[in-house]
Amino acid sequence: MGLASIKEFIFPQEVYIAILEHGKRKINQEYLPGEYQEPKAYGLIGGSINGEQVEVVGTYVLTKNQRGSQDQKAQMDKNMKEYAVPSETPMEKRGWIADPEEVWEAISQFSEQSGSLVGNYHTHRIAWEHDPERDTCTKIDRELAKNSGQWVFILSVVNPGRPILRAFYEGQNKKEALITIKK
Amino acid sequence: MATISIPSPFRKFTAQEPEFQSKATTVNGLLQDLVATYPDIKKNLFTPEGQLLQFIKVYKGEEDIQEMNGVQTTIGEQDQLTIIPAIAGG
Repeated sequence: MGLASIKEFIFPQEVYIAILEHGKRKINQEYLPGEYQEPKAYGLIGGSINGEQVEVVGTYVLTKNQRGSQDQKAQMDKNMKEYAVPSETPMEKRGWIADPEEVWEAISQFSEQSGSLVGNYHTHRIAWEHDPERDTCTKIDRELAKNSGQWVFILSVVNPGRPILRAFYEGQNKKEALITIKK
Repeated sequence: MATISIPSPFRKFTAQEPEFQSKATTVNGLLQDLVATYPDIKKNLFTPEGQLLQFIKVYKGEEDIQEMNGVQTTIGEQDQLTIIPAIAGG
């Protein structure tokens, strides 16, 4: 069975906390040296697939955003115009694209941890009138994850004191997996 | 034969096979063999015009083939390649 069949992600507590801390750090606008500066966190998740479960082995903090690169900007702008809900963040600042070199490093790291790339995560930080929690995938999330084979994890930090992490296969809100924290 | 690792998300296109082997002597030959065996993976690798998608990368060992000779990079029996999928979010 593959990623499409996953029903549960089991996170070691320290990995789960690392994701929450990443989100918190970015909304506080505390940046790593050389990190792309924006109040949005995004990263990759590695895990070991065991039937319908994934044992999460680690995460990789993405520090670069190729969204503004000459090759990608026009297509991303087009996607945003077509699928994104207008928000206080300007369209040209919306969205992120992973740097392939970082993806390569993450895949290598997960392999050393006896896992493989299973998905990615990003934060939603601004409440919308029609979606106050922002803990599910948006239309643009679905479009960008369409046919990707990846799980999309949404970390809602609308209320920073009460972060919410949820997982959706290819960004489809009807295909959600349980997230369990292992102490 | 050269071996290419299939990232987990793409294994839905390869009947869950984690690797693919080919006797091809270039990266392009190997990818064409892969697509011929698993046609559903094609749209995740190539544009309709047949170019490797911009944000799909292929590594030969630890080196991006774009730093070598692109898809015309030669490969040998012992070479291990990896497909790096494109990842984006809203």
